[in-house]
Amino acid sequence: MSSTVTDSIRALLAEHARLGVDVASLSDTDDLYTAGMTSHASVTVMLACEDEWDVEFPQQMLKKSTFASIANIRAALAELEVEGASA
Amino acid sequence: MLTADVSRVESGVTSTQVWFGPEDRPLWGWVSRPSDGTARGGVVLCPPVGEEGRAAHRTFRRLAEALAGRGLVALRFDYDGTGDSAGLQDEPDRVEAWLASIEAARQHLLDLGVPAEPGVAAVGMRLGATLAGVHAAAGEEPAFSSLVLWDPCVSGRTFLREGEALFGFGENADSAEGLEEGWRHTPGFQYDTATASGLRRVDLGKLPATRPLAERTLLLTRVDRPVAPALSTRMQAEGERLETGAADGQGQLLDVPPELSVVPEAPLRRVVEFVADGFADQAPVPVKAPEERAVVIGSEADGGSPVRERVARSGPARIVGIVDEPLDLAERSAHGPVPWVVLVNVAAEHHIGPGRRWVEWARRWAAQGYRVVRIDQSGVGDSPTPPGQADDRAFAPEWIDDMRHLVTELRADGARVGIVGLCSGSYSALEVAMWEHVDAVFAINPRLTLYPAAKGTAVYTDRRRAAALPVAPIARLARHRRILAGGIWRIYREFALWHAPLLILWRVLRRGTAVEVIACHDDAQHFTEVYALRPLFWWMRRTGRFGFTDDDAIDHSLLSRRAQLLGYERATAFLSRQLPLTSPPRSSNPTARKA
Repeated sequence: MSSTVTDSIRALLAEHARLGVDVASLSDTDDLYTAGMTSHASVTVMLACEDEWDVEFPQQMLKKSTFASIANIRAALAELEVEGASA
Repeated sequence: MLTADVSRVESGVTSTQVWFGPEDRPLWGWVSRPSDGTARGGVVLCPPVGEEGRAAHRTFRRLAEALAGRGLVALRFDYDGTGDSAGLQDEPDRVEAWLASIEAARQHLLDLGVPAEPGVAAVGMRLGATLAGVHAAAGEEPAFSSLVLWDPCVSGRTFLREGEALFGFGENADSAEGLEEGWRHTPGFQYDTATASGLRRVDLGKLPATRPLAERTLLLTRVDRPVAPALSTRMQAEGERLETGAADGQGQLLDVPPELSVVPEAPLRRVVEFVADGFADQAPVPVKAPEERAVVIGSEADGGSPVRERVARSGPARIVGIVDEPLDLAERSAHGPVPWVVLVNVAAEHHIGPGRRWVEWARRWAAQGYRVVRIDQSGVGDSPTPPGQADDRAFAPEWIDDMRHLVTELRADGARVGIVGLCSGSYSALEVAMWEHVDAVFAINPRLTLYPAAKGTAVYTDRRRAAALPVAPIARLARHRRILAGGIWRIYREFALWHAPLLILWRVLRRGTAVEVIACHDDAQHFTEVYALRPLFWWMRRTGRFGFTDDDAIDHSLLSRRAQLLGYERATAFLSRQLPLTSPPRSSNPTARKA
């Protein structure tokens, strides 16, 4: 488990996801959409992730489930071989 | 018949549809100007691109009219290959063509007599702002005296990535595996690799800081999203030339389906004030009245298979229709009246259709030999709103009369008439077929259970003949619990058969109209799930004049490429069966003829 990548994801969510709750109160597996993230906000999160790690999510990864939880985002980044994203 | 007097005069402002730019690849626009024939300056309005452009149509129309009300000539236009302009939306390497369109618009205002000093102003929204900014900084001297960047995309890449994500996150998610290779898919619109590369090269954050964008620039940004650091840094270089403000209301404008978009009033007023202030010291000078004319326009890439296109108005409400006709219409008419095809606007969206496919379908069908008109019903798009009514009311009662007048006018010379519609447009087609004789209706994803027009809503009328209006308690429940209300209604109509949408299709069929429906499963089941009517459904298909396809390659809003291509293929085949041309169709080979 990489605390650095997870912390960065949490920081990005705090800035971009417009959640209805404090991101610190969410576990890695909590559903972000249930926590108030809209589709448009998740697009902003996606762009922020791309800027942060200089990656581009391929079209097949552009689906709501990829950004549905902190764990899912981290798994997607791991798939893109972002350093520290793999467990 | 359809009338050619297109200009609209309202509150001292005259709005005229114009064609400008390259003669062999004309650009579509509307010029709004003071009715007294003078102006203090000119403004180019650069709309957003793609689905955002559809959503912002009303806002840009309002903006143009408001600027004209302040003594300016405003040109709102469609970039090459977008909206109603010439070209195809998926032609390669679009970005250079879009930038050239902005310069052509600026030049057109100068040609109309707008003073060269202090120069033309520009307002751009989203990618339109990005393009306007890039164009502004492209020359040695700024292209614009004043520039408004209204919620700009920091770069073309951002625009494309947002669109791709929205496409993937939307109702097309399940179809992602079937995406056609070589295209970048956004809701409704697709871009080729060269265009994607071109988009990466437009970046407001990378514009040279030593080159001012304009003498004065207004930057409006959303307060509900962080501003990209690169944009902030670059804009700081404008120094005292820069004003900033909040782009309030962008969520209600762009983050909703286009038919639900709301004009952001406060930012619109701010933009008008800012632009008008830039010309405050200018004395009004006479400007030319734009010329209303027809153009020859290609129906295929590179101007191939040209047709004649013009704007017309229909009925006492003077709704706007864009007419496409074959170049050899007179010759074809010698064999009898050439059939008409009507493409109806969808809900409160203007007449270009999903992914602007109505424009491309209309031109291709005209190239085959049909007369085609794509329309805005009352209160929508470029058509007038009846006095006392609000803009953009989907299912407005006056649509019934709009369609009746239109069909009557088209049939005046004895021509056969077919109508193609999507969702609410399919309803409008079936509705008019219950009043006037219509030869053929091609209905994509028709929804005839009209919750938005139920009793108690602003658009309720008891005149509707092709709608299944939910009973009052279910309509009330639907306002808060739509899914629950829908479930109850569907159970109810298993017994209350007279509410079954299939009966509407049956009645239209009995009136002599050929009907074909293609629908995604969610929409199709409304016609097939009433068990007691299955024998009727079977009988209708046996008539040879009724087709029905339940196909999940179709998405409800026709925003995916494969749904759009499938829709065109099926509709074209339907028209050739039900509205056969009396003389052989012209070749649709793109290289067959050049404009």
